[in-house]
Amino acid sequence: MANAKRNTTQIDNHEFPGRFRLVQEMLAVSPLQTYRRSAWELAEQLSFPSKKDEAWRWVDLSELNFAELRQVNGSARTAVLAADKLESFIRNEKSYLGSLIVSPAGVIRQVDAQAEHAGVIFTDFRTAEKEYPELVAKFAGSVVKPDESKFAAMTAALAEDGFLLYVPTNCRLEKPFLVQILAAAGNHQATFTHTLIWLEAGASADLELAFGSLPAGSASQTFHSGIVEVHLDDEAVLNLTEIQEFDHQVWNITHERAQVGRNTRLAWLYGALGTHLSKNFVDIDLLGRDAEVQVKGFYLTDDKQHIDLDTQQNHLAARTTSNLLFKGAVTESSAAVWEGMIYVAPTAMQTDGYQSSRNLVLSRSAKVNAIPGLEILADDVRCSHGATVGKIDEEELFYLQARGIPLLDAEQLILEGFFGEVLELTPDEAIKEDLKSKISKKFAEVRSRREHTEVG
Amino acid sequence: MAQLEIQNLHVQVEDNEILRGFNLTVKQGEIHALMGPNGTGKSTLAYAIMGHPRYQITEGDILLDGESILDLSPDERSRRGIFLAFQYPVAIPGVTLANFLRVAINARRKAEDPEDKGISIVKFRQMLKAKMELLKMDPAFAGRYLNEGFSGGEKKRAEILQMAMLEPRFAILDETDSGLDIDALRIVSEGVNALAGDHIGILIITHYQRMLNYIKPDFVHIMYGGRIVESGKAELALRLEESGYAWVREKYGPLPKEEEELTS
Ligand SMILES: Nc1ncnc2c1ncn2[C@@H]1O[C@H](COP(=O)(O)OP(=O)(O)OP(=O)(O)O)[C@@H](O)[C@H]1O
Ligand SMILES: [Mg+2]
Repeated sequence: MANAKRNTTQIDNHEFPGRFRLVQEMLAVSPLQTYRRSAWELAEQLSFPSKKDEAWRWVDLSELNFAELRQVNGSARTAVLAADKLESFIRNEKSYLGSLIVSPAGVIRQVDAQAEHAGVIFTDFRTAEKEYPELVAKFAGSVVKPDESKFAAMTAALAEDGFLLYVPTNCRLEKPFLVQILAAAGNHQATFTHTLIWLEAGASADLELAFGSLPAGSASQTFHSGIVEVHLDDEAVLNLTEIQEFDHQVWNITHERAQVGRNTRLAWLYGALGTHLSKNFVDIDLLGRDAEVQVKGFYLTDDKQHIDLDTQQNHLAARTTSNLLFKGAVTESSAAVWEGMIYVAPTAMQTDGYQSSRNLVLSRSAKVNAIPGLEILADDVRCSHGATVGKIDEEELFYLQARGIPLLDAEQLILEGFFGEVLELTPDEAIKEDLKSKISKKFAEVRSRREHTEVG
Repeated sequence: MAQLEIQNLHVQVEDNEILRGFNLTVKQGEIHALMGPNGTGKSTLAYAIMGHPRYQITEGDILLDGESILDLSPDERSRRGIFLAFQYPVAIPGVTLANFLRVAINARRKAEDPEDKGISIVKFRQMLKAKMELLKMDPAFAGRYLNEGFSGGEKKRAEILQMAMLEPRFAILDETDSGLDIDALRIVSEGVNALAGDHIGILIITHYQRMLNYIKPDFVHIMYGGRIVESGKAELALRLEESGYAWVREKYGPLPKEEEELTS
């Protein structure tokens, strides 16, 4: 009975649109008017994902206070944060071809003039809508469809933040781009972001994409929903490093997909450290022959975090290769889910597909679910998968301890080594070091809490 | 009283008693060799001294400089100066040999002085380079993941490199000679000799005379059925090399396990 009662409150609470509105002035100037309107209608029609939906069965949204959520629009946006505070997020430690900070509080953009001259477009989503309406209208919704979930539809309709990176045919960029997407924090604010990464034939680029939070106004629930659309035309090459480090009060849902053409190379490094709860769909469609994709991911969860990653490698053309490895460690009372699927279409002969997930459980109340899947409809393919969940090896710990390294340091060293394999995917030493130190910092926090409770 | 004293040690692994009243004292400056048939408990002894949690001490004591170390964790024992070169070194994926050694050295410094900022990179590199040269190791090993994909002999050499870097007061070398080719055996033995001296006591666990040709032991002990049954000088090792353990079995009878098998 208690359950039934809870369900009714949940439905009330999750009534759409709640406090969300399609802002007419915004629509009026948007090249995505039709797209946004029909997405809004979809958002009204589609039901909230629940545990009854296969893809959402590990995701518990009942505690999300949806009715309270509101998007910061229009003039209220700039009031979110003083501009000088936003500048404190600027990172100058290395030379980027372009860097972009996108947030409800404003945008800070810098881009190499020569790259712009060569036809590269690198700008925040709202500016892209205004200045490149044809491109945005062509790209938006071509890779991730608004009907993929209620959240995808809401995001398609409402996104004001995000960015466009467009690299024209045969334009090869040597230096990386950096984008920091900062969501509003606290005060039940919701941020919707739409990201378009579009490489024309023979183009190549490196992009570091970081999701984070603005300084929090309050500790209340905060919401982010994002769409990430990646398109690689034939022969294009993209190194994408994505790191999610939202504050712990953020509920985060993303629909991310890359569609890659003939003889493309995509390396996608995906790290998840933040949020209270995350549900991420990370899909790869291999559409052209000889495409090669590598996806490596990591997650390290603490406290009561729940991170749920759903990956798909869809082989839709012959002689395509995909190689996916996710590594995770769960601590304290947190939980992580990785569910993967390799799909091989009947025509995708000579596919080479691999997926694997390796997990370490570092506390008794932490949980991991790692579920690989294969659906192969073609002959003459090489596909395999593996998933492991275990503890840190006792013999490894003892070996390090026998060299004088205290237990917790030994655990940290093993953990850093464990994640090292995944970080190898980025060719950029600075990014690698940065991610390493983020992982170490988070683990050090877990450690110090543990040391305190053990002493106390 | 710089010595490592093992007194009447009884050790169980998963309810099987492996060590049954083991006694041995190793003083600084001494080299002891411990020999004995397979499964007699030599590695068990080494693990028990190092404090492996799976090896339960049910009776007896291990004293370092007159103080029991049984309550110390393995890392504390290491930092007090005990070193074990493993018979089967463990691979640590993703952790380079150099990084691992730096962490190990810094752990020692930090234990001595909580304010310590760690060894300088330059000093560490110089030290590592010198010790690797001593053991004629390819410098590339420093950047490789610890023991991962190392050949048997390479692992053993890396163990002695660790010993050289950590400068222990008591070192137990558990079959360091096995897996080494003839040249490597000489190089590693010379390396150990270079580390030997008045400031260190060494216990060499081995099956063969070959390492003892380079590293001259002061004492040789034969272990059988979980304790030392014979002790002598270097000649004892030569006797084993010639005639095996048959005379030991004859003199001390079959082991309890073997007895069970005989009667059933
Ligand atoms: N973790 C363990 N679990 C079960 N039995 C064990 C374990 N460790 C040791 N033993 C048993 O204890 C006995 C002694 O083993 P130990 O490794 O100490 O022998 P050893 O003298 O080092 O032999 P070797 O010369 O082959 O290295 C063996 O019978 C072994 O099977
Ligand atoms: Mg042994």
